[in-house]
Amino acid sequence: MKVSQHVFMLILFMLSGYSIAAEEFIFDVSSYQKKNYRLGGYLEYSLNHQILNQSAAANSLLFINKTLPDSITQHIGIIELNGDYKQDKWQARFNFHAEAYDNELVSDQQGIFYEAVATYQPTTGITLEAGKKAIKWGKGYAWNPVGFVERPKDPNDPDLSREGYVVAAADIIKSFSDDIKTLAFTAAYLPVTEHINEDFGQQEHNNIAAKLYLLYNDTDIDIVFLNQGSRSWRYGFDFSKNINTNFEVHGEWAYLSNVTKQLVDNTGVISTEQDSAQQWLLGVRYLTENDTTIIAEYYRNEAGYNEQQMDDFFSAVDVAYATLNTNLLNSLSKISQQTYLKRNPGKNYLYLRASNKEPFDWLYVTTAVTLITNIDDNSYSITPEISYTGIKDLELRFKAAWLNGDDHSEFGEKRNDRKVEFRLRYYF
Amino acid sequence: MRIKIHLSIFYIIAVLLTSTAFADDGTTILKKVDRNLQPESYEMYRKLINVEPDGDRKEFVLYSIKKGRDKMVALFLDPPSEKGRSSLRDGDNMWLYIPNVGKPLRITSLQSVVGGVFNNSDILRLDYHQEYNVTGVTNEKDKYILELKAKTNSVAYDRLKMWVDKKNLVPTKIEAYAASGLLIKTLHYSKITDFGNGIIRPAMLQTDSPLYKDYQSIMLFSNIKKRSFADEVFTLNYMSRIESLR
Repeated sequence: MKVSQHVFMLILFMLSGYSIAAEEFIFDVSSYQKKNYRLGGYLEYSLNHQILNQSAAANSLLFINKTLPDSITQHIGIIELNGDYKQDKWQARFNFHAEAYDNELVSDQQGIFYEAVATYQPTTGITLEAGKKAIKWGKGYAWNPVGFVERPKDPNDPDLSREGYVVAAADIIKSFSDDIKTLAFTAAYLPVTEHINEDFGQQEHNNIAAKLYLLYNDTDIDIVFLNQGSRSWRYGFDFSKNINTNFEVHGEWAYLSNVTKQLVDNTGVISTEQDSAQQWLLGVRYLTENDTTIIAEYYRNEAGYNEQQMDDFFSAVDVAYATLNTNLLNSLSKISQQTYLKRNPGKNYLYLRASNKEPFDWLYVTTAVTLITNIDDNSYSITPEISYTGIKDLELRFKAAWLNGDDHSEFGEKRNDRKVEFRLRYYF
Repeated sequence: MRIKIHLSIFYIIAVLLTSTAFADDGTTILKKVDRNLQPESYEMYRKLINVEPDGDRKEFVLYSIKKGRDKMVALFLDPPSEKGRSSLRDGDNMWLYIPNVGKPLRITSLQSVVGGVFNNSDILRLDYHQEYNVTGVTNEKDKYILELKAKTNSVAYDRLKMWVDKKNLVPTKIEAYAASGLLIKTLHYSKITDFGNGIIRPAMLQTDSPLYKDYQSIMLFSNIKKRSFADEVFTLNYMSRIESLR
C-alpha cells in the first residue's frame, strides 16, 4: 500500500471516528413533551446504628422503668410519591409520604399526605390555592425564625420535605422596571379546629398569615405577619443578597408576642411564664475556588432556655431518676419533647457546613461536614457525610454523627452519643 | 515644535476615533451574534451532558424560557432526582428552587447546579452584549475575533475572546478568562441548524476547561421558538409553577 493510501485510510478512519463521536450526542426532545399529568418520587431504605448515651436525660425519660440498651439498630423504609394533574387554569397536586421503621424496641409504619392542594390560576400573576400545603418562609438554611406557619425543620437534614397545614391561600405577583423589580403578596387562611390543623396551636381559632415580598435593588426582602389566634401574634422580615459571584448573605428577624414558656426548676416543679421575644439569624454562603460551599449561620432565640434553665431541668431529671420518682419522670417526659428536649431549645447557636463536590477528583462523590453548636454550654454535634451519585437514579449516602458536651449540656444529654447511617435512595 | 504638538494631538484623536469605531463595529457584530443565537424572548429545550474522565456520562434535560435583556428560567425535566427543580435569573440575581425544600434559595453565578464544566451563568446565559463591552475586533478572512470585557464584577467571566463565523454571524469558539488572565474554559459551538422562523444557529455547544482536566460538558439545543411571556413568570413566587408554561 502506498503512503498516500495509508494517509487516505487514516483520514477516513479519523473522519469516521469523528462522525461517531459527533453522533454520540443525540437529543430526542419528543420524549419530553408535556403531559397533563406527572408522577414521580423516590424509594428509600436506610439503616442506622445508634450508640446510646447511658447517662442522658433523654434516655432517663424514655426508658422509665425499662432497661436501657447499649445501642439500637434501626431499619427504615420510605416511599415519597408526588404528582400533579393540570387542566386549563386548574391544577391538583399531591405529595404522599409513607414510612416504616423497625428496631429492637419498636416497629411502626404510617402514611400521610404532606400536601394535597388544588390550584386555580386565573392570570399569570394571580394564584389561588386550597388544601394541604407546606408553606415555607425565611432565608435561613438551618433555622427559620420567620417560618410562622410551618413545621420546624431538622437542621441536620434541612432539605427533607415536611408536612403542611390545611390552608386557603392567595398569591399576587407584580413586576416593575424600577428599583423594586418584583412585588408579591401572599396571604394564607389557616383554621384550627378539633380535626383540622389541631397541632398548630389553640383550637377554634382562625389564623391569617401574610407575606409581602420585594426584590429591591437586587435584594430579596420579605415582610411577614401572623395574627393573634392559635398562636400569639408575630411579625418579622428576612433578606438575602448576592454580594458577588461567589458570596451570599442572608438574615431573618422575628418578633413574637406573649410566647408561653414552660420552666422546670431543679426540684421538678413545672411553671409557665409569658413574655415577648425576638428571634434572629444571620448567615452567609461562600463558594471557594476549589468548589467548596461553606454555609455559616448564627441563630439567636430569646425564647430559648439559658444554660441555668437547662441545668435545672437536667438536675430535676437526675434526681427523679435516682430516686425512682416515676410520677415526676412521667410528667417531665410529657413536656420535654416540646420544651427542653426539642431540637435546639437553647438561646444561641452556630451552624457551619462545608460541602465539596468531587474532592480529590472522586467522581460523583460529594463530601460534607456539619457542625451545630450551642454557644452557651459549648456542646455540639459534628456530622460528616459522603454521598455517591454515580449510578443512574440512585443516591447513596453514608453519614455519621458525633455528639459531645458536658453533663447537663444540650448535646451532652441527647439520646445518642454516636450514630452512623447508611441511606440508599432510588428516584423515579 | 508647534507642528510636532499638532501632529501628536492629531495622532491621539485618530487613535481614539479608530478604537471607538472598532468598538462600535464590534458592538454591532456582537448584537447580531446575540440575535442569531437566540431571539430576545423564546423558549427552548436543552440537554446537558457531562462526560466524566472515565467516559461515564450524566445527562440533564432542561426546559428554558427567556424574556428581554435579563430574565431567564430553566426547569429540570430529567433525571428524576432533579425533576421539578428550577433556576431563575433576573439580571445579576439567581435563585434555585428545589421542590422538597419548597422555597427558592439564592445561588451565585459561579456555582453549578449540574456539576461538570457548566456553571449557573452558562446555563442561564444572557445576551453577551448585556454583560460585556467590546474592546477589540480583528477582521480576518472568514471570521471576526472579538475581545470582550465584563461590564461589572458580578459577571462570571472577566474577559472573553470570541471567534465569530462571518457567514452566519454566530460564534464558533469562545475563550473565557478570569480577571487574573487565567483561562477558565473554552466553548466550541458547532452543528449549525435551521430551527425554523429564521433561527439558524449552532445546535451543539461543547466546553472544556483546564480547571476540569479530562472533563467535557456538552449542551444540545432543540425546539427554539420565539415566545412572549409575562414579567411575573420570572419571579420567585412563580418558580414552582414553570412546568405549567410548557
